[in-house]
Amino acid sequence: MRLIAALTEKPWLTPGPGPSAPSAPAESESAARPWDKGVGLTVFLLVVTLLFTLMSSAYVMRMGGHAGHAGGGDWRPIGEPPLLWLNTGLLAAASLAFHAALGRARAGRPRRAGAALALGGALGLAFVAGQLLLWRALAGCFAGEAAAFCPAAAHGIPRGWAGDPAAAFFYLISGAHGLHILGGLVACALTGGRLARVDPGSLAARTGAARAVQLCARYWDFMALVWLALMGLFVST
Amino acid sequence: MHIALAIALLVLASILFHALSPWWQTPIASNWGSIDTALHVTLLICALAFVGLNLFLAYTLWKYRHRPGNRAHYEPENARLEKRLTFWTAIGIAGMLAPGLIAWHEYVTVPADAAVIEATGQQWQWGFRYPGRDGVLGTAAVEHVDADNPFGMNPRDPYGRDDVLVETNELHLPLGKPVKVVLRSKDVLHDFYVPHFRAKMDLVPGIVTYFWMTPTKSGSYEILCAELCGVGHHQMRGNVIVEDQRAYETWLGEQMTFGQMLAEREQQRGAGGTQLARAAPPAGAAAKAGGR
Amino acid sequence: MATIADDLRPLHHPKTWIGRYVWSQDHKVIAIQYGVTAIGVGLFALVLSFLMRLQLGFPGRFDFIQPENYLQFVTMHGMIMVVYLLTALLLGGFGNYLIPLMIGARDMVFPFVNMLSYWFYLLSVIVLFAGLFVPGGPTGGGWTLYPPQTITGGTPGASWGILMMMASLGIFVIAFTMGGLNYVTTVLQARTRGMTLMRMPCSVWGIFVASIMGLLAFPALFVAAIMTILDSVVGTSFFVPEIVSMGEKTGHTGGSPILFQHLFWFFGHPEVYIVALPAFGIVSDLISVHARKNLFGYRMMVWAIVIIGGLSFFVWAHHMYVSGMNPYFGFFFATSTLVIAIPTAIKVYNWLLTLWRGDIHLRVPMLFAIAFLFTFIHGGLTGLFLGNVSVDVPLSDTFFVVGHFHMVMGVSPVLVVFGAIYHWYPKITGRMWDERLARLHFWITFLGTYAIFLPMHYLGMLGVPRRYYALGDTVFIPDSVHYANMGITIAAGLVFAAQGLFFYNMIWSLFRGPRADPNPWGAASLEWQTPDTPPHHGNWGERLPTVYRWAYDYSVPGAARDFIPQNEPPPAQNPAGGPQA
Repeated sequence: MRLIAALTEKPWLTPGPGPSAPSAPAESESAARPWDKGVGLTVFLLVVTLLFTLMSSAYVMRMGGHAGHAGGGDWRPIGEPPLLWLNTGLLAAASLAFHAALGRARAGRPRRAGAALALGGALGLAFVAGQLLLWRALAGCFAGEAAAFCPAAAHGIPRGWAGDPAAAFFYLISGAHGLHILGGLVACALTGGRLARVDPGSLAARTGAARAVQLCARYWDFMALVWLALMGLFVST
Repeated sequence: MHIALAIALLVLASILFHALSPWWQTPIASNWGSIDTALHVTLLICALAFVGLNLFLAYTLWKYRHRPGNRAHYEPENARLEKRLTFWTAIGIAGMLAPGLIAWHEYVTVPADAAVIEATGQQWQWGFRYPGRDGVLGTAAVEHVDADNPFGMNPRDPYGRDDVLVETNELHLPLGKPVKVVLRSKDVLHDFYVPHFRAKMDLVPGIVTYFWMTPTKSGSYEILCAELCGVGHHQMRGNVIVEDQRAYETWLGEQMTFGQMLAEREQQRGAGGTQLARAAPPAGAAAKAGGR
Repeated sequence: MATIADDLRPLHHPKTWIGRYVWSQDHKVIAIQYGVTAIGVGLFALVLSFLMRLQLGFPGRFDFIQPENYLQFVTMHGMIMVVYLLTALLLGGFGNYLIPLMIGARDMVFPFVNMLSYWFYLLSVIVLFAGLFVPGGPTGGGWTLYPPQTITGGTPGASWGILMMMASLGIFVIAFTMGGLNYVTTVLQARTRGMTLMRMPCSVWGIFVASIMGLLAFPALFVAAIMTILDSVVGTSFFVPEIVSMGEKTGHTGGSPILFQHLFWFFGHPEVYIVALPAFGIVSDLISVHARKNLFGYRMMVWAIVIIGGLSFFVWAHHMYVSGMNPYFGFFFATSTLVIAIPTAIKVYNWLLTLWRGDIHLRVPMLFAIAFLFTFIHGGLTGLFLGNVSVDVPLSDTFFVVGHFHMVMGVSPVLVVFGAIYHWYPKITGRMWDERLARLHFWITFLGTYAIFLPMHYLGMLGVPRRYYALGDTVFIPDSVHYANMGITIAAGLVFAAQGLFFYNMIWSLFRGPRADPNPWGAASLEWQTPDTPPHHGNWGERLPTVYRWAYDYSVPGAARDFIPQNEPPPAQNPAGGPQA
């Protein structure tokens, strides 16, 4: 509503300092706040959403669920390797750890927040390691090794994962997700470094660090949600 | 000053160019007059807008050019005027969209009595297939393509035996009969385009596409490829010959069917035969299938 | 929508020459880096287009242009002009330069990311040019890069060239995302005191909405690029079905070429508006300033930009009416496409009505803006032919399409770019260009481009197909078409040569031009009110400006001058009252 009000303003009728001018002392530069990185993060997450939505749409169209002619009739589901569930658990646990870190950072305990953040980061790393194992195991299936969870496609069709569209999509999409997780780990490490250096006596430094932890947690929640949606896609098709 | 004159002259030049240039649509040779109608309606509405808006622009530039002492009028907006302009624009848009959509509806609705003919594309030539006496095209796919079977005919499909195969870039069509042209590509995207027919559709590997039309004027027309398909794109040509039913049938009778082609190849190779011929069902099966 | 007025961090002032001009984080330097790189790359693409014209005008006369070279020229020309020139120049160049100055900020919100954006862009350009030297040369698959053709035999650059192109596009998308994040966040957060959304000049609105669109559309290109690379290198079958290429099966199965087209055009159509919207915004400002009149229907203009931006995500398949997709999609996409014409038409009306009863100063930037109106009306109207589904059937893939899109997104935005460069050159460099050279450049460019592209529409009506190396002996194409092609080539040569005037003028004026007035056009928007010309690092000296009015207070009744700068407070005795409209 505020947006609509802002966009229907007749700007020529209202000369003056303007409704959105802050009431802070007008002329001092030091009184204002720094940029809020959260807005940048939100815009970035929008881009990431589009990226995964497009890949998922391509997945569904290639599968043949699209009203057009797409889909070659060669689609065989990849099945549900148990590692998939374990990795999902790790990712969710990492999210929880980030929220714990956020709680402590807000409570003004940067050192303990740092410990929780490190735990979250470790869980995130474990997720990536789990994904690597999963990709290797799947590749093994397609190379002919028998394993309980090997997808139906892998038996008797020695074309490798590249020849199987469902597997190729799985590698593509989960790989892209993994890269985003790695990026998140870098941000998490930087935030951890900031927490370690924070002067516990300075309120501004503490609030700033808490905000950084909050953005980390937000990114992590988002990537966990993306993963859940992707899981839904993989498991239901 | 000069710019106002230039704009007015450009409008005039555009109209003259339209009237005097020798380049306009080829004479139509199919039933797609409705497409031409939609095009002409669109052209008329757009031409009116083009002339009107630009002459208004030229007049404004001349009338309100800067002269010492001039001051612009202050008017932030005029909601009434903007609403009226929006309304009339919408009317104009609807006026051209309606014939466009009607023609498109016709274009995508194939009449039930249309004869089926297949055009296949590969870099950089055309091939054509007629369903033969049974009126049904046999199944075909890229997986069956080899040197002996350029159309990728399914050797196990009895419907394919009497299909007439033409490898010479020349398509014959009977005059005045609706025809559904089924399109298949063996390698990359192509597009079957005959300017005189107005119709056009891409050939997409992996799927079968189609369009339909009724040739209404006998003669020979050029087929162009209208979707970039590699270095030979500009040389991927063919001819379509529209002729009366008798001439068409005579021509069709002279072409080889898939069955004849197989038999001939078998003869040439002696008793060994090709794997393809051995896998084929006995001739009786084809005759029986043809009778259905 | 809260505005944070000031930046409290001390700006990082570089000490060395390299720090100031190479690894610079100043938005103005980055803008110039972006602009110069983009124009340089664009010049290369212009040469390519002239080579293409030589072949079309005089087929067989130039031995070094073989069919594969011709297709490579077509592809590189198209991709460079759309992505590496126009997108980079309008957003990376003008976006970077204008946003902070027009909204009263000291810099972008993330200056370091902004710098990275430029260097990634440069890397993408280097990779693109490296593609010229790989075995097999650059890809010749047409700028649309449709598989399977781009990665199978019979197309130049099918093995290495396409990989370099896709890699370069991928890097470009990353560069754009970093830049776009900055533009959007800066507009949302760094507006100075009093700069409400509806007080922003239309240039900022156009760039802002185009940036959002770019952020949402480029991922589609990114995904398509990666999937094409996988299909080519690893042998996946995302886009390539079972095919026999040059007599051999490629080993792919079941892929969907149409899937690529959907992804490509989901990027490709918004891309048209990513180029057009900044041009719309800039031209609005040029017309208003030089007609000394407020932009007519400012609110409608802003809404139209937003509506066009939103709708443009629902029209992509109008590029695919005859692609073999489900034909029933045609009904939806034809309707959505023609609906988008309504807000676009409103923009045209409002530009014309801004001129109406104005006080029109026909300076060079204004001439370019007026020429834009003419070419854009022409190109926009021919777009209705192609959007109107069944009319598109005979015209698609003919020279009508070539004429249309060059008029609407080639010539039109480029005219705006020229107008914008002439308009802001005094602010950017502190010097003035040579008037006579600029006028000569304008007349040859404007009349020449119309002479090039008007006849193309008629060749397309006749049915002359595009992307043909040579027309050969085609019965339905009369000899007069060959003369038309010759004439077009000669006009293209003239226009090509006339650009020399522009470059000479710009470079000569940089050193020898007379010192420019800080506000030579009497413009009201904020970028002309900087304390220094050209603006120093930090833009605003000691204090950020405070904005008291919109960007279009021209010829306000009762005001002493015919413009009131945005940062001029209203008379003290009447702080809330507006001008008597």
